[in-house]
Amino acid sequence: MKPSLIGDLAVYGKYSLVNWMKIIILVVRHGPFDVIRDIRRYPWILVLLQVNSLMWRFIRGRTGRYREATAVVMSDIVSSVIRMMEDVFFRGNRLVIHEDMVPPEIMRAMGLAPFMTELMGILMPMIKPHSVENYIDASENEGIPPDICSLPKSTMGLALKGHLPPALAVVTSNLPCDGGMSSYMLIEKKLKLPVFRLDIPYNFDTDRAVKYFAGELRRMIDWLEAHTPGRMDWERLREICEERNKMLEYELELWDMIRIRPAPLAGEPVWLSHMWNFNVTPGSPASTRIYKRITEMGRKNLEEGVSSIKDERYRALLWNPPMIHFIDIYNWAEKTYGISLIMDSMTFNRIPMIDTGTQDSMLEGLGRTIMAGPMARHTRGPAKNYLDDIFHIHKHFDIDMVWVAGHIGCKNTQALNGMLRELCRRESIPLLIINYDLSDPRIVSREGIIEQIDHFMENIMKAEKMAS
Amino acid sequence: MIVAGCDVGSLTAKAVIMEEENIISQAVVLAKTRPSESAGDVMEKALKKAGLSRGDIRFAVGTGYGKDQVSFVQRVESEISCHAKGAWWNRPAVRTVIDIGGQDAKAIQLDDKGKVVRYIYNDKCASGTGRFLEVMAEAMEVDLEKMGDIGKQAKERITISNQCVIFAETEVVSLINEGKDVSAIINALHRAMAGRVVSLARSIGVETDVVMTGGVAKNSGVFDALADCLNLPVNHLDGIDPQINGAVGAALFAREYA
Amino acid sequence: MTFDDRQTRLQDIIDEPLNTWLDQAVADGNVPIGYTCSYVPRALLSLDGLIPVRVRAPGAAGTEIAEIYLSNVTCSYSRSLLEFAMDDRYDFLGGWVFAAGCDHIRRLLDNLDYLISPDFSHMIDAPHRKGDAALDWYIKELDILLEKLADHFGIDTGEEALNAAVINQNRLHRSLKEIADLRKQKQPPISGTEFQRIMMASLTVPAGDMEKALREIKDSVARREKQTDFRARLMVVGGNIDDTDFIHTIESTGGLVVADRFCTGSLPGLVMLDESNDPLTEIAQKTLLETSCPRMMEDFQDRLGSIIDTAREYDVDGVIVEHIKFCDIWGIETGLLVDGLREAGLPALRLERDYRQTGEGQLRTRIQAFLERMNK
Repeated sequence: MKPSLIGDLAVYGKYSLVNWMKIIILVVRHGPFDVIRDIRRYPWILVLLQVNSLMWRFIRGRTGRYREATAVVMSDIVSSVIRMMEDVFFRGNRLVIHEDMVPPEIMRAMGLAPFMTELMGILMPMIKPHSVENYIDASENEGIPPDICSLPKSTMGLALKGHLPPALAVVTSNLPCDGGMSSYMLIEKKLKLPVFRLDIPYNFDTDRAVKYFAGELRRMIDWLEAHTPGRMDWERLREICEERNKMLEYELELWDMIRIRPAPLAGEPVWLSHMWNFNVTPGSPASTRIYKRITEMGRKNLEEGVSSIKDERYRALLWNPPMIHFIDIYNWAEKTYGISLIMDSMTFNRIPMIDTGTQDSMLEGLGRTIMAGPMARHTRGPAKNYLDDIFHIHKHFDIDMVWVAGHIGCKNTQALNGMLRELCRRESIPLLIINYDLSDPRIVSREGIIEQIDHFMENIMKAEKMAS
Repeated sequence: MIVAGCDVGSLTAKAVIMEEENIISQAVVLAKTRPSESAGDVMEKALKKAGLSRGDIRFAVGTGYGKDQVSFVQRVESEISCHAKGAWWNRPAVRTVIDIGGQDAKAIQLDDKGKVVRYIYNDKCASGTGRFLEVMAEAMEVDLEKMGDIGKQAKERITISNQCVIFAETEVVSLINEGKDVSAIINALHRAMAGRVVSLARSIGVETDVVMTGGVAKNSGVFDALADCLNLPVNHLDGIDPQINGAVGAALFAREYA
Repeated sequence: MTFDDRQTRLQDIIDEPLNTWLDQAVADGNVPIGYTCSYVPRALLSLDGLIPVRVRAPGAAGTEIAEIYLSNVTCSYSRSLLEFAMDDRYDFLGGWVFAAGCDHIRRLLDNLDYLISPDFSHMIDAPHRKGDAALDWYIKELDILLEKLADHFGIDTGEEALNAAVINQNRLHRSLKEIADLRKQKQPPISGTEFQRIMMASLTVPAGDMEKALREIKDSVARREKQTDFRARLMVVGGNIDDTDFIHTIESTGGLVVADRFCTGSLPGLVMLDESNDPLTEIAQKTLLETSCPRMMEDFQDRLGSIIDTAREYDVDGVIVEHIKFCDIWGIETGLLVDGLREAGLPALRLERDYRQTGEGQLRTRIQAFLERMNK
């Protein structure tokens, strides 16, 4: 057996065991019969149980601290999904369903248990590529046009099939796009729960907008207090925001490190850690600890002159939400062409720390994390946000090429491709726009995506594949 | 030195045999289900025409969708590179190649050394490919090969939607029912198709000289409509069947690698 | 001029983005301002020599150039506008005012700014909900628009000017409503297509010219024969329907469109403003609270309720809910509306279309089948 495979198996063995332990403890706590009942009620549990296979796809072929950091991020996600399942099993009387761009910090500070609806639609295809097709089909059969983005279609499908847990209320917003916003009309009709909607301005970069959205968050707090047992604990919110700030400090240090060529870390320790910890569990000490660990590993790699992958030939920026049904694409790209995914649009942001001085400053800070946050600033705001960020990242992180995950259901970003092509031509930045569908591999398969990348690497980058 | 290029598409397979600067033989066959069989058949046909055998070929390069299944080639190259190479060899002033095949369409931009600078292709949607014309020819019960000439006789200018082949076909049926002249309808179809391809090409930028390749280049109606839509002169390859351009490019690569 | 002659004249007018009346107004020193969404208050674009023009692309064919930038999965309305803009068909406009109505229109402005750099373009950040904070926000947004208009065009945007704009708009709406209300009759003297022609003209020509035409229309319509040759009274619900061909296609099957509840229709479009109220507040209030668009994320039930009420008021036999393909907001809303209408006992048809008039045969088949289902 090759040494790298032995190493892979060792890391996999260690962390998959840890993951299974966490799962077994939950099964025991909940009671095996209740678990079986709940698996029938929420079939997606069976998909989530296969999370170790995802970890394997992420780590195989990697080495050293990069491999370890990847496994650490995955294991942390398992822990946090277990906590989410605990909320579903044990804290149903506090459960609030929320859309992915609603700040969960507020609900946690109110003693509520937030359940992010879109999370299933994101996590499931990562683990099993075809796992949300039946939800997409359910939406389309209900009359939702097929051209609507497959993430709201998956989410609506979960509601239509009754696979969302019972909850007290729904909190959503007009982010990140029309499809996302409108999908909650159907979800509301299906779930028959009280629904609160946050209104986020288009021009969010002004003091006026920040104050308006802070007002919206206050309105949300009042509404939740009226419709749920949740009560705002401002001290708790302060703790959560301060913890989030600590995590951000580690992240900024990590970003500084990965500017260096070759990068000491890349891929999942950069993007997946952010996606999970800043969107699903911000303000949790466990999240800060994960970031601390990842950053330490990165620092050690840097000190020892160790790069994430042995031969970092190309550094890529991925733009738009990652290809969730081919989520190990970065691992594939590393092995096939020596491409390191350095940064992506769902991670990068320039949001300042949250000022925890007063209630208003906290709400304004949290508001900024949403309004000026990844995806929202790009889909909801003017084209300038989208383009400026790409060109900034290209310079700042010493990027060799930009890959756009050209999700066919995202009309917002499809409508900027023409402009982007011209501007990248002007700046001589190699650009690849991958045509595919975010959650539905039937539209463009994994092989179809690979073919597009192969064409680009061969014809534009004149790249040779790595010897296997 | 004798080399060969083999372009295995989903509808047709093409082979070209070159000796130094000259094409000494070429062949086109309808593709079979297995690319390896199509490649074998077309290669045999080309060899037979030239009076040669497999052993005479010093180096062979494969391209096209089925290239990885062709056992007798020593190397494979993407169809984009091959089309670029073939067109540039034929016409060094070319900077944009617009290739419309049976099932795909592509636009390639080259630099002055014939290197691919950028490209774009559509291989997912029938609109803007030879398939569009096939479906329409069937709907109107005309000969595919005669469409170019028939379209030229149009006296009326109609517009047909080009978003989707299926919609366009329904529109054609309605227009026939309305008593519209077949030549006018065909002319409109040519323009609809050209519009689609021009849209594709323009997204990477079009620079002169522009050359049209692929089987659809033999349709003078689409060819003229393309020039019209682009508002630029469009050229044929000089003395070469546009359908074999990819195979020519592959043979030229073979010459370099031999 | 007879009613029919006036109709022909109006059709000629609306067949060109720069029609002869507008052209004359431009020659007289007025400035047409293009807008694309009902959340842009026309009254504010009528101040001091400005003329609001709802931008359309009459006779739009292909959108090959627009697709390079907007892609082919965006609303064909936005694409057609970009195609026309790239073809210099809107060079006569002094500027563009958008509202952040929907993703596709927002991207249209992004691409217009990039490709054409209009002298004046502005996006009103319209909220997605009602409520006091949202209304305050919207009032401030309209205030910002007025400042920019004053700055760029040197126009008077003071309270007196605004009051006059309110009065003028009310006068125009009153005249239009008089004709619109005739369609409540059992056998109206005017078809949906004919009324749509009048509505579209009113949205794209100087108000003075329109009022003059409306006086003539009011006289001539009184002398008209009643519409008798129809099978069913229909209501059309939807977004931007600015081409009479679509309504004509519906009516060619024997349905008579008596209620036009869409962005460019009379319901609830011909809102009357309270002239005693502060003009900017009144304009903001009425626009935000009464426009009834699915972009307002909290109001689905209100919209459904109001469509049902209108259907009863106009005694319609069935409702056609249309949407342009690729529209996310209407795409999701349509199915829910049709379900809700059917639950309320109203036959409803969902019709997906393209902005450009294509696939007429397919549309007719669906509408004919709908009428047959209603036993009409």
